[in-house]
Amino acid sequence: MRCFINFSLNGFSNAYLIGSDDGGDAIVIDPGEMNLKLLRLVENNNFYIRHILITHNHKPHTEGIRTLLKIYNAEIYSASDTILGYPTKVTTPGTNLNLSGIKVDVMEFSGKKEKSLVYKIGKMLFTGDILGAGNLGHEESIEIMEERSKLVSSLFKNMDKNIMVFPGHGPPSTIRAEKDFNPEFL
Amino acid sequence: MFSLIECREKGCRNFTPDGSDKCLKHIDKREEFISSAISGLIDNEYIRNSNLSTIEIDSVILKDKMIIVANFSNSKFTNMDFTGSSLLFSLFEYSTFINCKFENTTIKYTNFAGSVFSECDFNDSDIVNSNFNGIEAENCSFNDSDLYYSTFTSSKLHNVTFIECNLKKTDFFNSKRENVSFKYSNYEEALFYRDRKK
Repeated sequence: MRCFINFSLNGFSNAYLIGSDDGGDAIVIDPGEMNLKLLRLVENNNFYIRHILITHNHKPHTEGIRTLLKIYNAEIYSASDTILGYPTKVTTPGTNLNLSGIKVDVMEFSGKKEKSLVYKIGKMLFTGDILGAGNLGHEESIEIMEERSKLVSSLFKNMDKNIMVFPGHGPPSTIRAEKDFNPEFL
Repeated sequence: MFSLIECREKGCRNFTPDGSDKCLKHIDKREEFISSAISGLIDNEYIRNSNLSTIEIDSVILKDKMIIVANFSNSKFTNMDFTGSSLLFSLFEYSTFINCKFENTTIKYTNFAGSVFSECDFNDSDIVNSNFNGIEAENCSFNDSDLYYSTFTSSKLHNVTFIECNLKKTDFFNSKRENVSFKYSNYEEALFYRDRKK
């Protein structure tokens, strides 16, 4: 399996492209922008975007969908019924998706203030805006950040330290580094 | 993207380099493989999608390289010269750097969490949105650098200088600082406390 990072200037966000070593149907997570770099990654690796996974419905993580759907016939998976007016397959926590042979564990991150999904594929964890390297992801209101702090601690407390964290913004990390140094876990 | 396949050796959790089912510690013909990997680093301008975690490198010049989406975690670098290089979306977690030069580098979205730095020089660099959480740094300098949005939370800094730096949104929460200089830097725009944790 291969996973590529695509950085977008739209909200300085990260999108991720995941597919098999041999090409074929692939997954894009949080496409904030469908830019030339992402198109080249898809085409040069003989991928076809069949699945779009959305961690949460914020534009820096969704706006690439419009262009993506003009090029590829893909299904959107999200916690919301629609994203930018496009219907989605609403995913529920605990679901184990099998997307063109790639197994995706869906974890829910729901508080009163926000709803988000976390996707685990093998040893990769795609955390969207709720966990970044050394922080609680994209800064929001104090209420949301307090809620996030409680939920993050319980969600990731027992997770394997070797799992890599791929956030919606900023550098990648590992669960080990987050448990050791992220002030929210200390 | 670097490999995320764990080493086949019983009990080992290290990730493997491309094309191998064992990590650098347990790979067959280890010296030969590492020598070839270091030659690859020297010969190529672009170092991308590599996993060379646990490598130990001494006295190699890696000037003006583009290191993109690479994993060098749990490694040891001694007397290295990264002058003029770009490090993007890469992992250097829990590594050791002794007497390494990072002058005039561009370091973006790169993670050094838990690493140890001794006698290292990051002067004149753009170090944006990168993670130095939990590092232990001694006798190091980041002078004349842009450290916008980079984090040093829970770090231990001893004899470290940040002279004439942009420290806007640079996060030093929970850090221990001894003989650290922020002279001529906008340290009032850095974060030393978190309101939520006050």
